Amino acid sequence: MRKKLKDLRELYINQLRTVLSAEIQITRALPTIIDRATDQQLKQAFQSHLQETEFHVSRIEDILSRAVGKSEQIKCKAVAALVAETEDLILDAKDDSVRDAALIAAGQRVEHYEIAVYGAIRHFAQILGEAEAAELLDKTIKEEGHADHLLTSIANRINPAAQQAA
Amino acid sequence: MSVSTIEELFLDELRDLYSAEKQITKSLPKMAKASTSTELKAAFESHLKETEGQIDRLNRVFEILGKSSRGKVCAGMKGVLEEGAETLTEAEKGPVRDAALISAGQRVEHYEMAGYGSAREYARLLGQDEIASLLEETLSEEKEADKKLNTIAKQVNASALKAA
Repeated sequence: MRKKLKDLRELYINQLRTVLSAEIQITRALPTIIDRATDQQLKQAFQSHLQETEFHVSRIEDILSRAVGKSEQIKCKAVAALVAETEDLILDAKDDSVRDAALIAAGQRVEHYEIAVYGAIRHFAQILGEAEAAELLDKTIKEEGHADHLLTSIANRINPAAQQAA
Repeated sequence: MSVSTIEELFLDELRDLYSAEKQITKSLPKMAKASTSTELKAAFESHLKETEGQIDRLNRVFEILGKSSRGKVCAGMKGVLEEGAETLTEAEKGPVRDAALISAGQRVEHYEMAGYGSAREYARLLGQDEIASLLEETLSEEKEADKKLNTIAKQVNASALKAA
């Protein structure tokens, strides 16, 4: 068992390592999701989110290496479960437009999860006086929020089509 | 479960949320017990009551649909809760653990917001207005619970800074 987290700084580093694992898992999961999405705009949204996620990974690596000199991960079990759930959804969905609707719902869970995680870490950074890190984390939060909104607007367009399915 | 229509996706999402809420009612007492801040403890305790009300609301939804609430384990929420429980045992009791608990609680809230948000949209699309407004009520409660945790975080995180 690891040493207990004694102060906010240790919790902050622990959470950064966990979110690093989360983002790396997402970069690995997105190519399958891009592949299985049918709607072109949705495919493109996931594609550009993959590029964005790669940025998120390097941002956290930067923050971690500046803070502790290395960027080790701690496996994020939550995102592992969310990714597994999404893979199940892909298998279960028997219709293209319903699958797209399911992919949007799954994507939004991941976005929301990340918004919550980054929100906490950004607050830790602010309190710890890590202004530069807080600013980088803020950029990521805004991008996750934007990705979530984009998925909502695509859902508004394609879910009515999915309703016509079957 | 094979899902070919929005109705089926809707039902699948509702069962997922039902399982998630059930799991949360089991975790919240542990989270309340692990909290040091009395404000945080009270927040988790009142959210437990709220969650029980949310389960009643889902039961009503299943009643309207004439479908069973059973048949699904929300693997996503299971992972989210496991992740939270792990950080919890790693953090020293006191403000650092409280900070970890708040962060874990907010992840749960956000996960639910996403789930209820999708479910409400499916309900609207399917013309299930009564269900949509039941889901909307829960969605607002989850958002409020998240905001409340944000407020508590300000004070708890500042004390966690001075810990050790």
